[in-house]
Amino acid sequence: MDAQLKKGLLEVCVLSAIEKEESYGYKIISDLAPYIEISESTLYPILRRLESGGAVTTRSEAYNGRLRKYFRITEIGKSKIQEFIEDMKQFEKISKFITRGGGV
Amino acid sequence: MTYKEWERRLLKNLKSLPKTERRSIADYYREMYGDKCDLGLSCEEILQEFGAPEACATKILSEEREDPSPSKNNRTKRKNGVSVAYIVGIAFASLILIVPLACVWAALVASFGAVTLSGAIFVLAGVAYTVLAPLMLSSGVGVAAITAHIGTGIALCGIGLILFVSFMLLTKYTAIGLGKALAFIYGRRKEQ
Repeated sequence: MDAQLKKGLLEVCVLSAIEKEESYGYKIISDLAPYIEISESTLYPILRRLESGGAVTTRSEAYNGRLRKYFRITEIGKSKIQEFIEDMKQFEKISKFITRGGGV
Repeated sequence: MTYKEWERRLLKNLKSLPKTERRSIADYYREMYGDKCDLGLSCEEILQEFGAPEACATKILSEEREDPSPSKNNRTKRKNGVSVAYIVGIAFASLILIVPLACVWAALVASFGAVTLSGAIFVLAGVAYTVLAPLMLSSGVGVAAITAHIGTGIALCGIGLILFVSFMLLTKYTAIGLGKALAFIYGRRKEQ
């Protein structure tokens, strides 16, 4: 898969993983594992990018004597998911056009 | 390899990032490590899953370079804004405060240096007086007078040594202080 395409896709996947409830790094990776491959070093920049873009907010909580950082989706994050869904509809049309060999 | 060693190697390869960013990355991996430990994975298995610290650092740095997030751009703009304000501020402060203060400071260094030099001259004069006074006076005066002159010479030496050592140190640290102060004021822009 194209690197840029995968990057965009991963961002939406991460947002979707925390759409229903806040989550933390390891759980996000575990939740996404069955659908898309994502490593720790891939997830960190994505979370950071989403946070700096205002798509997620964070809070830290003590867990088992250490700190765990929880990520919560924001309205900006939710609208990103919606944008992606709209884009996918467009892609679907284009995909159909391409798979049938172009033309009308 | 222990986790601490892995983290040390990771952070060593992320030196180009700001300290807060490196701390954030360290916290992230520590949390991941802790969560995997809770699941019963061994240190070796976890580090194998993480991959080589150098590869992780490369990946993070490449993402960092490509990061197109608007807030990051804003952050850069804000930084540039601070730089411009900083330059204007420094120019103004230089005119009314920093340059005059630096001149006073430099004058202090020069005067301390002069006292150091005079201390050295005192020592030389003291030595010369101690040696030469008895020779010159040996024919016409008594032993007591010669001893008094030798004593004066030694006292001169002592005063000279005290002046020389103390003012040499004072000159050195004042000059270093001036250099550090100026480097701090004018060097901050480079860091930004």
